[in-house]
Amino acid sequence: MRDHRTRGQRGGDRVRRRKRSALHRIPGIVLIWLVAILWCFPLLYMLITSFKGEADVLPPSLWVAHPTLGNYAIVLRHEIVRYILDSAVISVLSVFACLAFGVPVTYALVFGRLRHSDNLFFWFLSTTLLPPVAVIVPVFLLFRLSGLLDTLGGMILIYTGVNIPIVIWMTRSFLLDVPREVLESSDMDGSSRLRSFFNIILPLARQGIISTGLLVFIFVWNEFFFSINLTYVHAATVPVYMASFMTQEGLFWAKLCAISTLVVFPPMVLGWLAQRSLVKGLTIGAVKG
Amino acid sequence: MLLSLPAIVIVAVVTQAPILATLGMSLVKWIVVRPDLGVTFIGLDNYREIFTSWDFYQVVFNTALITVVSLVVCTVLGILFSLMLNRDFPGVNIVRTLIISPFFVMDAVAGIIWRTIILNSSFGWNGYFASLLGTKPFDFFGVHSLFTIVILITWQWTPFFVLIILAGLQNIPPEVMDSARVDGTGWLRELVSIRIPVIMNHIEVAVLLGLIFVLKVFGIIFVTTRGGPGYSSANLPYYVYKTAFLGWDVGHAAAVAVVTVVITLLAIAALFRWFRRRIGETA
Amino acid sequence: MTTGFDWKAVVLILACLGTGTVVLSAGGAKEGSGTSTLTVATVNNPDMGIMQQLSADFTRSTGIQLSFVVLPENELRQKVTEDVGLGSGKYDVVTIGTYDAPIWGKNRWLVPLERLFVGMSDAERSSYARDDLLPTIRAALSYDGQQYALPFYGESSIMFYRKDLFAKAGLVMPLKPTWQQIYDFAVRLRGLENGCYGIVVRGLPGWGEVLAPFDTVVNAFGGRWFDQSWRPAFDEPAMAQAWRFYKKLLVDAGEPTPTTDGYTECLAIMQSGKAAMWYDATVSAGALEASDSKVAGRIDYAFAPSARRGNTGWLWAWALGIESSSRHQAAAFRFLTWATDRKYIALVGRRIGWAQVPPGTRASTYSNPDYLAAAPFAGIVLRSIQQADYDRPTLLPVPYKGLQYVSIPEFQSLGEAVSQQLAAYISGREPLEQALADSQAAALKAASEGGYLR
Repeated sequence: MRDHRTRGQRGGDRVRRRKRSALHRIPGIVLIWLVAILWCFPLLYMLITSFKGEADVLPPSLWVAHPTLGNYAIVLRHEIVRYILDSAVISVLSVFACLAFGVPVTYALVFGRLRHSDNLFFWFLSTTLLPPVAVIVPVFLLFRLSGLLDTLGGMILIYTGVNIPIVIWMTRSFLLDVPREVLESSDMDGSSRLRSFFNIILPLARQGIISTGLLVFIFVWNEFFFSINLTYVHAATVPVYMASFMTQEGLFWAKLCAISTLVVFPPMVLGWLAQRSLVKGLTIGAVKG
Repeated sequence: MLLSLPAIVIVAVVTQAPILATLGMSLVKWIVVRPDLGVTFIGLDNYREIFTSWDFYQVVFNTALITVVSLVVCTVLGILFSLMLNRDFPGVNIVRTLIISPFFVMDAVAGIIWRTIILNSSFGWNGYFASLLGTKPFDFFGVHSLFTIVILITWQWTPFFVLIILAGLQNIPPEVMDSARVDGTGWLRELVSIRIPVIMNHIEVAVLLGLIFVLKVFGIIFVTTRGGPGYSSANLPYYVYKTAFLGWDVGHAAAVAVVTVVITLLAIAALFRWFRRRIGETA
Repeated sequence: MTTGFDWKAVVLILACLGTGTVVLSAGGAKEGSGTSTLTVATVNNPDMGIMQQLSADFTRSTGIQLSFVVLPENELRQKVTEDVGLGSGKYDVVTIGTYDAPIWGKNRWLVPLERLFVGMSDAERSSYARDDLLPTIRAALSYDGQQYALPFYGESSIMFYRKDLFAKAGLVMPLKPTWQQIYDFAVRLRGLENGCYGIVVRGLPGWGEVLAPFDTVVNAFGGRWFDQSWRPAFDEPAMAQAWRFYKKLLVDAGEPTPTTDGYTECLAIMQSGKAAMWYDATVSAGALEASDSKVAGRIDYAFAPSARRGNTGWLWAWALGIESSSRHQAAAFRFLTWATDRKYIALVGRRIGWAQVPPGTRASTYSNPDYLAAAPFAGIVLRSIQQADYDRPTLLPVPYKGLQYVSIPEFQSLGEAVSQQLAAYISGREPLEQALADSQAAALKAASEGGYLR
């Protein structure tokens, strides 16, 4: 199996191996674990509580006396399934749209011979500064006029527009990584640009592009402001549902935790998978400048 | 060039054109719940109202405080956690996973969980500990609302910093580390004089990106304190939302939005320039 | 610029996405304009939840499909205001309160119901029995003589108290207590059992949260929001007294962090036995007697406390109205009359339980033996609603209506601002003078910008 780490990391191993034998590391390790668990405590406790019966929620305790899956059963019978489906469709299609529109732009910026490629890149980046509040009323009006309010297509459109710059930012570093010699040699072999793109560039940058897609998915899945203002019935997403779950009945915390666990599960898993490439995409492009 | 066109069009339509519309709306008086008052052009009156209102300055102050404190704490914690994770020990992957988890939790859930089962004074761990100690529960969302918001934001965004800074730490070439160790430098010295300058680029990226995102925070405030009590925990995005969708004064909200964008741009430019100068010094 | 890349693939991808988007957005729109599907916007509380459950009956008997949008009160009001104010017409039936109905009626955002009633057949009309609707509630949902919404459930406010704790402390709650008496009781009861709070009242900022009970306290102490010429009255001594009293009550005997406790939290606190008294909406009575309540059977009731002025219970109803831009007005009206009919109430009684029928709308509910047997609180609730003085809420004359709010459109944001000031004062962040001065300024702005104050 190829070792994908950099020379620096492999070198570090040598140093680390020398240190490993010291026993005094144990309290340090325990401390680190403690810190991590405390840091993550709200989420861990949320998970624990989701398995408690409502009556056992108070007073708060770490022990689950009568573990039950009842909360999940109730919660899944709820209308949340519709919201999850809406979120899923919107997120997945937004990811595809972002990649389909964004990657070609990045390709043009990196490999094309655009006159103002730097300016264009920074223009795209500047749009990420946009606070959604600044545009919500005009967007709402525009959507109303064009009949896009509360439609899956409308939400996909806006999420695409907002996330393409992120795709460009991230994939730029992955495309920059493709060694020029490989490209030049394929050019000399006479294959068209498109073929080089699919046969050479894409496989090399594939991991980065996938992680970018995962990141966009997470952003769209979690997005709150646009979805709460631009949807009603047909395109309402999970965050909208979560904000409205606080019903006017008491004693509902176990179910709340069950829903919350369900709902943060997809982005969490994707985030864990995409960790490394995420960082690479965000930093290397910017750091190299 | 033509490959870029669709993307440019979409982004422009979704993000740029509405800003112009917002600019236009900031020059009118339009109160949605009073259709009898109509829509009238009032020039810069909205802006005048903003700059003479005490609430606005408090909101700006809140935003500045939230941003500065969160970024500083995130950076410090980010560095600490990265150092912690930059070793090899049993379970390092799991620990790293735990540390970065808060970043992927949506605002609504994060806010609700903290508010109801952790910091709630009657039902959460806050109340539980207070009763154990026999004291009054700490008023997280009332008296200390801004402080609590900062805690929540820091909790959510530190993982972001950790990811970036950790990558930086792990990419330090071993020759640099080896040469430092040969000279017999202490652990702290090593950290401050060698590691941090080397990863300064990463720290810069983390802080700049962090700035952009923290300035936009809305969901956490919406779900927990609703900007209150008073305006004590409202930031600029929440203030715009409140004016537009609770006060229905769309013109005024648009003006605040424009001011927000300007402040954002200035803050980013200033921070960027500060970093460039610092890096110029140490290079 | 290099040439030779394959246009076809690019165009193909774009076309697919474009078609997909169009199809998806069209799909959304088509559902709405299909054969008689009503979009109903509701709040998320138990009574509405029951209505949704039973709506299958409606669909079965009329063939009209229903699509529910459920949101918390603030979101709902905002969404619907957006919808009507900007004319999107996405909702057919909207759930609105007594606050919204007259204002929206005036703005012509709702369909006036008179002509729809006229269109009913004689049999339908007598079966519906419009006169059975409680007069105070009917009036609160009308503007200029026209009714704009039909009440789904109505409420006033009463004092709930734990009769077991009162007995233990040797106290007796009068049927019509004063606020001073309540304060004394609360201080005595505090900590009596398991660290319980003497009283729990809302403190969460929001004109529909803390201001609901607090405004009635203001009325009780003889305060008011505006005087007859629309000058804000936050500088009147009675107003300051009310503020001081509310904070004192909370600090000396209330829950520890009141500014985080809204209706939901207060209900949870009372239901789990953590408080000896609770002043809030009459509809909570059912929840306190429900099977999952830890205090079921131990609650008794008193009228809303008085001070300088008696009869201070508030008046509120959630009602169903028809958006004027709806394209299914006839079908919507059928749903309105279904959900507010005696037959619906009986349906809930049979299927769900008599304690959970929507209260406070019809006199017939209160003469129904099944209901009276299941709801020991029925009598006091009915009298509170009937007595509520919606038109003359305060001691001194005022130009507005409304007991726990001021019935002007600006009140949403004004009330929000003042409630935030109240929260700042209660939590000790602001001195009283400043909080009142800020509230006075906000009210002045609202009155002058709204054109009330000349």
